Parts: sequence; structure tokens; C-alpha cells
Amino acid sequence: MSRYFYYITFINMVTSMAASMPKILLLHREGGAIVSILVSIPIGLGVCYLIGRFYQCFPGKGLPELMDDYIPKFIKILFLLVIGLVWFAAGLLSVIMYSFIIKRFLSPNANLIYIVSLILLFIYYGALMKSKNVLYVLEMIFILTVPLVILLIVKAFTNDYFEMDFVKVAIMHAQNFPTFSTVSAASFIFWGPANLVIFNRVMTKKQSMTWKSLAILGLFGTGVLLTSYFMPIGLLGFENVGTIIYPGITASDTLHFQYWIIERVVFVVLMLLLAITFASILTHWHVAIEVLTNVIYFKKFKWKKHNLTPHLFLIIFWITSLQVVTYLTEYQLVKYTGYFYNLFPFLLTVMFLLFWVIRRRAKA
Amino acid sequence: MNTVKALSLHEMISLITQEFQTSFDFVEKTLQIDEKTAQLLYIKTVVNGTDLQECVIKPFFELPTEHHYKAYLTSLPQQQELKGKEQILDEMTRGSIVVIVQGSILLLDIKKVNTDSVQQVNLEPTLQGPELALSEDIATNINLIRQRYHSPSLTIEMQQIGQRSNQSLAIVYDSQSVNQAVLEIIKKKIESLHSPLIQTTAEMQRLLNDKKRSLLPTSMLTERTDRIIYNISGGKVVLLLDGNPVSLIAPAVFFDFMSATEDNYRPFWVTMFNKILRYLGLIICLTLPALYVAISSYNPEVFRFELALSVSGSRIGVPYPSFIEVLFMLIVMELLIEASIRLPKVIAGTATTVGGLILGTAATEAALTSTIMIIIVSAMAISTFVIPINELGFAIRIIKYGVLLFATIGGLLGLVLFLLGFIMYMANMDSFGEPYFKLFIQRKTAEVKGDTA
Amino acid sequence: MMILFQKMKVLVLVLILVGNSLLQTGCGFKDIDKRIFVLAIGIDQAESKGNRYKVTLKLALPSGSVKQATGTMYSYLTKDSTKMADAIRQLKTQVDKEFDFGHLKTIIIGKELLNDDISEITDIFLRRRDFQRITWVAVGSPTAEKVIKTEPKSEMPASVSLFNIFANTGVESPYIVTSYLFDLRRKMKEHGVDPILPVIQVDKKSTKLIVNHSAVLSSQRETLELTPRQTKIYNMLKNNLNKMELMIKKEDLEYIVSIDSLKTNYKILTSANSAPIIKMNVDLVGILEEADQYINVKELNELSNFASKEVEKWVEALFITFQKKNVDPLGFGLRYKATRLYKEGLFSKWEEEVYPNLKLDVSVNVGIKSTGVIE
Repeated sequence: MSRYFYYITFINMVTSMAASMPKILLLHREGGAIVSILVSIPIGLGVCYLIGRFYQCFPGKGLPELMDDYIPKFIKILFLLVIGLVWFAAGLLSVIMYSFIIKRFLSPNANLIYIVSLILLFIYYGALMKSKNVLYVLEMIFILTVPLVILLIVKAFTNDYFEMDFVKVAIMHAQNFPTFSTVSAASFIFWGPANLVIFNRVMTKKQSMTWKSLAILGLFGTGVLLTSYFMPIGLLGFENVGTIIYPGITASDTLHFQYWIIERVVFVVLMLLLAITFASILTHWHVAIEVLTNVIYFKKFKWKKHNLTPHLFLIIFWITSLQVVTYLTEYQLVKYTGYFYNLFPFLLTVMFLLFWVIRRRAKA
Repeated sequence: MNTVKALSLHEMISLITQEFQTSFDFVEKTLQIDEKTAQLLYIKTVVNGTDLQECVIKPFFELPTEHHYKAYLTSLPQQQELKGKEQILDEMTRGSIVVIVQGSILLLDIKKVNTDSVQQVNLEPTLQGPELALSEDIATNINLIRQRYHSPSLTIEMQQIGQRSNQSLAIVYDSQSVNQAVLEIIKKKIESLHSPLIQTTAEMQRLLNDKKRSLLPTSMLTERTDRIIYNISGGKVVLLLDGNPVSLIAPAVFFDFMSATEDNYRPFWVTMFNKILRYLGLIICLTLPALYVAISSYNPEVFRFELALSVSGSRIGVPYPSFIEVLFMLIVMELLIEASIRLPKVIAGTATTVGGLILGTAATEAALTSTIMIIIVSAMAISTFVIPINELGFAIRIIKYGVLLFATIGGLLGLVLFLLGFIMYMANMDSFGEPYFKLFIQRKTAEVKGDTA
Repeated sequence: MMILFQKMKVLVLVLILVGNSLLQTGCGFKDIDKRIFVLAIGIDQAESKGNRYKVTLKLALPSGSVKQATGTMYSYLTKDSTKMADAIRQLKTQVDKEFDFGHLKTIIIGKELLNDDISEITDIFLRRRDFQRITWVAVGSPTAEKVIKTEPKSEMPASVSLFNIFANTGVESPYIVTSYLFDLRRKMKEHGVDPILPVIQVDKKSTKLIVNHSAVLSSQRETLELTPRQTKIYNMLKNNLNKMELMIKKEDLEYIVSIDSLKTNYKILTSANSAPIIKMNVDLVGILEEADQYINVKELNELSNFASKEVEKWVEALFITFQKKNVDPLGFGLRYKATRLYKEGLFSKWEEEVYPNLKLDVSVNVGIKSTGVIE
């Protein structure tokens, strides 16, 4: 499997560690959170496998091209519109979540609109890049940040103040039933390969989805889930952690570099998170823009040989983000993210149906 | 071949004389003895006098007939093919002579070149590598390259560029390992050049770039022969321009600019350490002033308390905000660096003293800047020159102002975002079809040849 | 000229936008010398009527060259109010610069306030983002204000003694219990652990800070103050220490063992028939540091056994003190919850039935490996 496939998936995983997923799991910590983690791993791996196998039969073609060939136009337009909107929402949620985090922890005096605009300025440039170049950016960001993240996680678990007792108390609640929202939140981290909708255009060589790839994905995913659930519990206390708004970030605030220049680990974590969230928003909006321009394209809308349709979409995205960011509270954000996660299984079912139809028609 | 010219022989002669008669160095000489006549037309300042005497004039007087003389001349290796009036005039300006004998025109190449001394390396010195660099004559350069790369697949194609100056351009590559796609692109671009005057390879570098306003270099300039050979064997294309001791290597990606030729001569761990040092220097140069502004003015709680207190203490009495202070020191440092390129050697020592000691210490005493600022600026200035290739160093110097701007308006957030934006900009660039900022981790040949993931 | 302007329109627009954003101060740009760093905060019972808290701030005064600083390096501000945030806001009116709490590393709570609800006091520190979660919390005796205003002679400029006491890079002592803010909070919230704080005392002449004992808090009952030796045993049982000393008196021989490796672990065993017991193992390995007699190497075994028995007695005494006062700083309740599957009423069972009847079965193993350089 090409290494870019892994990058797309891993970036999605690490971003969800910072987003609302830990909060949703921790809200149910006295319920079936642990069982949902265990259940979501096979579900997620199964989905990755199905998506990988499907795209491996059509190297070099993205989903819009495949649908052009085999599916009636009306369904294609509808489905791609939905995908575009859903991916836009995914990026939007990351932007809002991160802007809230920045406003809360880094610069409380800054205007929220200002923070969002700064981030979106760079995303604007990035979403218009070619898909191949987006993958190179992902690779660079991944290599620069993920080793540091792993180091910090190891530091957190070997901290003197990480109490195993709290973790054990959490495990003792393992005999409850999972709920739909926790399972869908936990398995969201495995939906990274869905981005192959567009990125498969760049994978022109034959890929293969083997046991090795599944093992790597499974290992990484399990690590991410366990860390994002147990680390806040171990550092912040089992009952206390329900009262904390951003469990991941607050947990990293309890760490302490003793012998280095920067003392509070939370600043390092915020910067690393910025890079990874940026990469994730970039991928999501790039896919959204590509999908939407495939469906709605104004050929005459030009200025000096540049077609302006993607710019139009980006400006619409920008204005929507600014509106939404001033309107939401943190509680609403978590709630809506939960709804968003719940939406995904249905979307994926429809997508698998399409895959099946396309496979059948391609063979015939 | 000669028929076209034979018809308009007299026209030819009159055309040549008309073209060159106002130049003092144009010589029209008739050789005559008994019944043999021959006419010589040449420009004496570019013609090698000894060769002229040996190969053209002496045999005329030694050979019995005009027929013998013409046969002799046509079998000389210096004879050139006649392709048209412009070519004849062009070759005459380069140092060929026109010999008119027995009613036919012959063109012989006996040019004199003054610039063919092989020079010492002065821009990219190493401790243990070869010390000789390219000279300013294209024939000598090609000789140097061929002598180091004894492979029959080394191909050299000559062209002429520049509509007025007509300089010779050599395209050198190894036909077995060259990247064909890149070669096509380069050839196409050279053909579409319309500039009347191209004097240096640096100018070529700018003209070959698609974008009119570019910041980062997409091809490398070097004077070292060993670097040229490494790049040729790696599949790159080298351009040599007559009159230039610097050659152009295309394509070049970001990581090429960060490698020095010594990397191949030193032990592995030493090279690894040097590479890490270079990247560290790059990061320090880009981010240190911006970090100072971002942390001291937006989030002083990032650093340790003792450091914050010391920064706060050293800013006592400085009248303006931190980013103006940083900007002021950076501009002074830039002026210093620019001026030291043009200083005559006599004043160089004084300038260092003025810049370093007096400006630094006095500025702190007068409370115009803080002491920490001096350290930051000097660390940054030194680390700019750790980058082995100068073009990238210049580009980085400009980019750090962008980082500073974004750190001023956005704090740490702005700084990191701008760095991410810079990564995106570089990943979006391509150098003649090769991606500019891609890591070749798996060393697959398909990747190296520019294919996709 | 017009053509040039047309081409440069976009550039000019960008420049104007950028220039505007530079002139705005809406993004929190504040130079470092317009901020004043608060290093420590002390909270006491208010003296005036109608107010609850008296807040004292210790501010750092920057000096031009830290190496040559002479004279005062700190200044102090005090205010009474009903709520903490209100006091801080009122104190802002007394200085010309903005407070920066990013380097606040110690919170001192006055002794009289310990009987109040601590969670109310620490609420503001946990809610605001600019207070670090790794702030050290301590109790100040006699009052927090006195502790904060003390400047011991051994203090160097820019090296605050209140920080060095607790940081591992400063002094390391078994009598000091280090307690972070986040640790305090999670212990407060969790059923089954009680928070413990160190107590900083000021000597009579207000020149020295002495930290040698600690206090266990619980919101329902009175706070329990531990003696220095009990603090040492607590630290030992909590595996917080790298090294400690034991002073053992055997008949007329007094000797001190310096322990450099210690390990404690315990298990809670409850069975239906017998009373619940805790099985605890303590392993201490060290060498002799000081003795008032000549020690033969062969006696080491005997000395080790005697030391073990002494330490066992101390641990049991400490445990019984905890049980009588019904406090649990070692987290036995938490361990109980952690080793049994969750059922309704699990913790109330612990509180009512198990903990009051718990017996301690501790076995200490002191290994004295050598008599030092001389015998």
C-alpha cells in the first residue's frame, strides 16, 4: 500500500484525538465507552479494507470519474453534492474546534473571527493546490509532527503523576453496553481512507491491501483510541475528567518539561496540534472543492485564464465558517459533532452500495 | 553546398566587406604568387595569428597549385560547413576566416580564446575535494567535464541563444540515465527564449523559470566540476554558456540546495551531523526573530520564568515595541551584509569591527535595543550562511521577513501558520516537472523519475 | 501612472489590510515590559467584615542585569474581597501594568482557611486558562501573607525560593510533600482519596521558610496535621521518594541508615468470612550513614531486622491515625474501587463497612548493604 494512503489515514486519526471524540467517549465513561472502543476497531478496519479493495481495482481514477462511467447522472450529482457538503462540514468542525482551543488557551484577547480568518487564509491557498502536492504537504507535516506527538504520549504515560489506579477504575466499568453515538465517534478515526474519493486520482500504481497494511492501521488506531481515552483519566482523575471541557489539552497541561527551555508542555502540544489539524482541514476542503467543482462548474466564469469557480466555493465556505463560529457555544459544538459522527455510518452504507454497483458494472 | 555561394560569390564578398568595413580589425588580404591567388577575409582580433600563419598562409606558399591548396584546405579539420550568409557572418565574429580560392568560399575555424585558464574554486570551497573550477571558455569546460566522466553516453549538444549576442550554449547529459521528460522541457524552454542578450547562466536561470516573479531557485548554479559530474550521473541536465565560469544544473529540488559536495567525502556520522546542523541553521534563521516577537509580546509564559525575567529586564528603557526593534536590527544587519559584498579589501576589517562591536554594544548601551536582540540577530546572521548554496540563502533571508510579519500580527499562531504556508508553497512548486519538496524516502526509481505515488 | 496604479491595485489593497492589522491591538499584542509577572498568590481569611478572602500577590520586578541586581526584587500587593477574581481585579487598579499570571507557580492557602471548602478557593485557578495546572499548592502557617512576604537570605535573584523548594531541581527532602494543582483537584473530586498539602512555616524573625510537615484535608472533617516523621512515612508509602534516612535507636546504639532505593506495594484483600486486611510490602535498601559506635560488618543483618521492625511500628501507627480520623490520603479507597468490578453502592460499602474495620499487615524489609567507607 502506498505510503500516502497511510498518511491520509493517520492524519485523520491524530486530528480526532484533539477534537470532540475523546470528550464524547469520556462523557460515557461510566457507561459502555470501553466496549465501544473494542467494538469500533474491527468495524473501522473492515471499512478501511473495503474501501481499499475497491479503489485498488481502479487505479488512477477518483470516484467522480468512476461514477461518470457507470452510474446515472442524476444519482451522481446528488451523491457528490452530499459528499461535498459532508466534507466541508468535517473541515468546518475542525476549524471551529481548533479556533475555540486557540482562543481558550493561547490568545484569549484575540477576536475569534480574526483567528479563523488567519487559518482560512492559508487553507484558501492550500485547497487550490493540485492533489499530488497536497499529499507531499501531508507527508512533510506528518514526518515533522508525529514523532514528537508519540514522544509526548510516552512522556505522559511514564509521568510520576499518572496514576494507574484511575485507569483501573475506568476499566472496571467495562461491563456496560455501548451506545450508537460512542461507537460511531470511536470508529470515526478509521474513516480516513474515504478521502480516496479524490486522492485515488493520484495513485496511479497498483496498490494492494494486505494483512500488513491492516495490521499497521489497526495498531495505530488502537493506540490512538486508548491514548485519547486513558491518558486524561490517568492524569486528571476518573470523576474529575467529566468536568473538564478539553480533556486532552488539559491533560497535557499537567506535564512538565523539567530540564528544557519550555516548561509547560501545553504550548508544544498546541503547536503540533495546529500543524496536524491544518493538514486535516486542508485534505477535507481540498476533497470538498474538487468534488463540488466536478458537479457545478461555470465554464465562462474566468479571469485571466484562471477559472474562478473554486474561488467562489472557497469564499462561500469562508463566509459560512465565520457565521457559524460566532454562533456556536462549546457545548453545541460537541453536540453537533456527535450528530455528525452519527451521520457517517449511513453515508458509508450508501457509498458501499455504490461501490458494489460500480464493481458489478465494471466487470460486465 | 558551394553552388549557392558560387553564384553569388561577389555578392558574398561585398556583403562581408560592407558589414565589417567600419571595424578597424577587419582584414581583407589577398595572397598571390605566380598564378595562385587566394583571398582572406577575417577579423584579426579574434583570429589566432600563429595558427593563421601555420595552417593557412604558409601552405599557400608551399603548395604548388591552387588546386592543391584548395584540396589541402578542404581536408583541414578546422573547416566548417557553410550554411548561409548569417552563419558565415556569425562565424567570422567568432574567429573563423573566409578563404576564397578557385572561385569557392571556404570557412576555417581558427579562433583565439583568451579566457581558457582553469580557475581555482572560490565560491564553494571544500577541504578535500578538487580545487579547480570551470573556466570562462566553453571548449575548456567541456574538456574538463569529459576528462572526469569517461563514458561514451555523455552527450553534448550545442546551440546558440540570444538573438543579438549569439552565445554558444552546451547542453550536457548522460543519455543513458537522463530523465527524458526533463530534457524535453528544457529544450522546449530554450527554444522559446526571445531575449536579445543573455550573458550569464544566472540570467538563464531566471529566464528558464516559468514564473515571472519567483522567490526560490529551481535550478542550481555551480562552478565545481565534481558537483557537475555527480549531477550528470544522477540524471540531471547541465547547461554551459560560453563566457561563464558557472554552469546551470536542472532540475534542482529543495534538498539539493541543502547538500554540500563534502557530504560524499566525509565519514557517515560526520556527514549526518553536518546535515542536522544545516537544517538547524535553516530553522534558526527563519524563526528566531519571529519567535522572539511572538513570545515576548504575545505569550511570555511559554518560556521559563528566569528567561522571561531576563528578557523583560533587558528591555528596560527601549522606547518602541519589540517588532520595531527586531525590524531595525534586521535591516541594519542586512545593510551590513550587502555592503560587505562590495567593500574593497582594505576596508573589510574595519567594517567588521564597526558592525560587530560598536554597533552591537553601543546600541545596547544607548538603550536602542535589548541585549537579547543582539544575540538573536547575530545567531541568525551566522546561521544564514550555513546554507551551502547561496541562492537558497538569499531566498530564506527574504522569507524570514514574512515569518516576522505573521508573528507580529498573529503571535505563535501566525508563525506556525506561515511556516505551514511556506511548506505548502514549496510543495506546490516544481522544478522542470520534478516536485520541489518531496521526500524520496523509499528510493524507488519510479519515484525518482517523477511518477506519482 | 494610472496603468501602474491599476496593476498595483491588489498590492496596495493588501498593504492597507496588513497595515491595519499591524495597528490594531485587538489581537493581544502587549510588549513584555508592559506586563508584570505574578509569582505567587496567597489567600487568607479576611480580617474586615463582609469580606471572605484576603489576597496577597508577589510581583517580580525586572532589573536590567540579573547578575548585578541589588536591592528589592519583589513587591507585594494585598486586598480583601468576597470573591477571588474581584480581589484581583481591584488590585489591577493599583499597578500601571497588566498582570501576567503565566508564571504563577505557587498558591499558598492560609491555615485558617483549611476548614473551609477548598474547592471554592481553587475554582478560579482551575477555570482560568492562564493559571498553570502545574502550580504548587501549599498551606501557609501562621498566615499565607507572612509566607509570601518572606525573602530568605539564600535566595538568588530570579530564582524564587518558593519554587525551588518544590521543584526537583532544587532541594530534595523527604519531609516535603509536592502537590500540584491538578493533583489536588483530582483528589478532591475522587471518592477514595483525600488531598494532602505541605505546610510552609515562617520562623519568628521572618527570615526563613521551613517546610517539614504536611496536612491532610477533607471537606467534611477537620484537617489532620502530620508530624515530620509521619510525612516521611507517607512519602515512603506513596513511592514519592528516591532517597530518605531512617534514624533507628536500638538499646544504646543510635544509627542512621541512608536508603537509596525504596519500593512499596500493597493489596487489599476482602473475603466474606474474615475481616478485610491490606497486605503491604515495603522494600528498603541502603547503607549506614552515621553511627555512634563501631559497627562490625557481621552485625548488619541484626541491625537490618531491627530497623525493619521499627519501621513496621511506625507504619502501623500512621495507619491507625488515618483510620481513626477517617481520612485516606494514600488512596486505599481508590485502590479498592480499581480492583473490583463496578456495582451500585460499591463505594458506600467501602466507607461504611470496609475502611473502619481494615487491618494492616505490613512487612518491611530493610537491607543495609554496607557500613559505608569505614566500619
